[in-house]
Amino acid sequence: MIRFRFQRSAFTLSIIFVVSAALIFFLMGLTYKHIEKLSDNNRWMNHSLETSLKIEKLYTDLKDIESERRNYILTKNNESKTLIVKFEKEVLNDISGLRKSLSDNPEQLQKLNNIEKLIDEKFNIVDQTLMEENLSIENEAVKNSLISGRIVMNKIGASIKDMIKTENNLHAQRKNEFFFAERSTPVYTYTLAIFSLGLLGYAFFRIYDEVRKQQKINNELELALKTSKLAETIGNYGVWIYSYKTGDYTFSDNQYRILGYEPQSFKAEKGVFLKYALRKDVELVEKEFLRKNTEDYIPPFSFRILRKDGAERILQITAKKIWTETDEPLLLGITSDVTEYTRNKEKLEEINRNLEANNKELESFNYIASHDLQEPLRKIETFISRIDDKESDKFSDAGKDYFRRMKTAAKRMRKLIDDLLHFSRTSRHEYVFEKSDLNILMANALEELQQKIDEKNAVINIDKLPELLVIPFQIQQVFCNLISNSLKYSRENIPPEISVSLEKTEAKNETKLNEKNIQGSFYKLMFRDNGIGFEKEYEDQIFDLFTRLHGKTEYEGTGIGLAICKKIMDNHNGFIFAESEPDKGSVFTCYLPSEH
Amino acid sequence: MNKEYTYIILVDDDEDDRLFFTEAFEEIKISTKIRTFKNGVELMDYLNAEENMLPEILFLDLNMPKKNGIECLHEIKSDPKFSDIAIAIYSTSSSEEHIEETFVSGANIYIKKPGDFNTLKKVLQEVVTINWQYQTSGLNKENFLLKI
Repeated sequence: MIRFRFQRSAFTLSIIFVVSAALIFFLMGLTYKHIEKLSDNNRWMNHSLETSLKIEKLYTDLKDIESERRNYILTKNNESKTLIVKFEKEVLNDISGLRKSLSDNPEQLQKLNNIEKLIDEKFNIVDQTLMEENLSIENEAVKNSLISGRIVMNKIGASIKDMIKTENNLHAQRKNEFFFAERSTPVYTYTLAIFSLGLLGYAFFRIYDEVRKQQKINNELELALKTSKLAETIGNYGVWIYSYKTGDYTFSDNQYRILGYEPQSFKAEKGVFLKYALRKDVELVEKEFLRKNTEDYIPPFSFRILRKDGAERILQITAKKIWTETDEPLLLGITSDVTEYTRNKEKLEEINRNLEANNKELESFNYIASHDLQEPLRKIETFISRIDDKESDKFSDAGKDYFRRMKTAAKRMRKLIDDLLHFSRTSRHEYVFEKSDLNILMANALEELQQKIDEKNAVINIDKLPELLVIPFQIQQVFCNLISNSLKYSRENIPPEISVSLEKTEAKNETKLNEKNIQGSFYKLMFRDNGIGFEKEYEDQIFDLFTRLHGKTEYEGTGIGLAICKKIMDNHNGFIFAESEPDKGSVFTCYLPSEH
Repeated sequence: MNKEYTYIILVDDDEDDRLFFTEAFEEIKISTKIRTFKNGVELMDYLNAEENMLPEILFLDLNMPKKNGIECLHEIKSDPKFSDIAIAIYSTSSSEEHIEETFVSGANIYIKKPGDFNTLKKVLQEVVTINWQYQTSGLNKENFLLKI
């Protein structure tokens, strides 16, 4: 992810750089072009000015010739003649100079040619004047030559003016161009410069941002690296990478320590784990590592190694195939030192096995004891009944009393054994849970107890009960035992009043369940009576096997009934509690999970 | 064969039980002939000997040395020549497993040895006077265990 973002950003930056560079080059080119154009314009403007000057000089020289000719006519001065010759040369020079200057302007050249013809004409007139012997003004020829000379001069003057005007126009036009170029150049350059500055600024911002991000990532990476190394040490595991290409391993620092070496103290080559594995486990390690060629995942497996310090340790390895960015396959593995864990687990398993065996033994002892005890007892009972039938009338009074007591003892033994047998049967877990209507189970229990209920004139009130997933006959047994207790331990001459109330509740709202950190929702069945009750201190003890709070002679009972109830509630992941006050009555509360 | 008594065999390793059994029949006013064996091996030897008469009712204790009641039951039920013998299981145990197993294996009735001699007499009288044909045809798990 990180790598991807970085790449995209580098791409953007490259684009920005290329665009900026291109723009700057373009800008340089443009500026150069403009400066060139400016100087060009400037040169042309000067050229126009120069040309105008040259034209004007030509005109001046021609005018000088004309005025010297007049001088000559009036004064016949030879000096004027020399000056005329000199000015004529000057004019020819001017013309050839102008011709050069106007070489790129055919229109002006044409005009110059026309002027040249007029000049030739003019020169002829001048030459005639110079050769005239009679230079008197009265001479008609002189008069004519003066007139024609003026006409030619006027023509030349008009042409010259035209040329100058054209040249001036040209100058003005060039000047305009120059000003426009001068004005537009900064707009171009500034715009481009600002744009490139903007781009560079953006690039700088991006680079700055990227650098900061990279720094943050670097810090995070450094922290992650430190944490991961620390985690390896704390968790007692090492990380390694196997390269499919080279067959070599790269070990983390802690991977070396797990094998008993200093970090990075040797090069981990092919088969490195086989080197340290105990001989008995080499085959296993080889087999597990072969999976890397066919599967993407090596599930955890344990093997023993001999560490450098000679200690035998148990390692667990698991690995997964991964791919680098360049699609090179690698095997990423984790080695954990599970020696303590495994040894503790083995110990615990051993203890568990013993416990289970003990439990089983106890259960079967219970069952067999009560079962086998029945045999002799039954015979005692049968012999008693034989004696009762056939011999009892032959006893003395003392003998009869002893015999009666013997009968009672045998009866009690019968009840004890029956109840014990019953208790040991409830502890077996092979019974099936069935969706049962508790109302029916309660009705069955009451039917069993009908005779006692009638005898004691008991009043029984029972709420409507739910349908639940239970072991039906066991729950019926609980109902039967609890109600039978209430009937049994009723106060003398007070008819028992027994009520069974139902409430749906949450464990967190029930103090006794909350104390045990129980969670979930329960059906709470409360069996309330107005019997003799018992002292508060016996509230827990009462559910223990063979606990009796009352004399056998006053109340018959074996102390197994409530132990059975407790066991049955255990079987249902339920709970039973007792609360009582002597001579007021008792409340037995059963909690049955509302969802199984 | 027209006899005036019912021939009954009891197999039980317990001497006292054999005593109660025979005494009970002595007191019942039904004409019976009782024979007892101490274990399954003795019983099977007797039954398999051609010359011996087969009983109408066989009372089988379950827990016996050498060959127990269940083994005897299986052997008897697998041999068609014993098909006329009604088999009553006669045991101290009344555990579900034993009742279930003997019922499935083809016993006709299950009797839990009572702890009272008079009850024993009642039970045995009931068993002997049962119309076996009727009992066998209407046999189900509910009436398999004899309740007095």
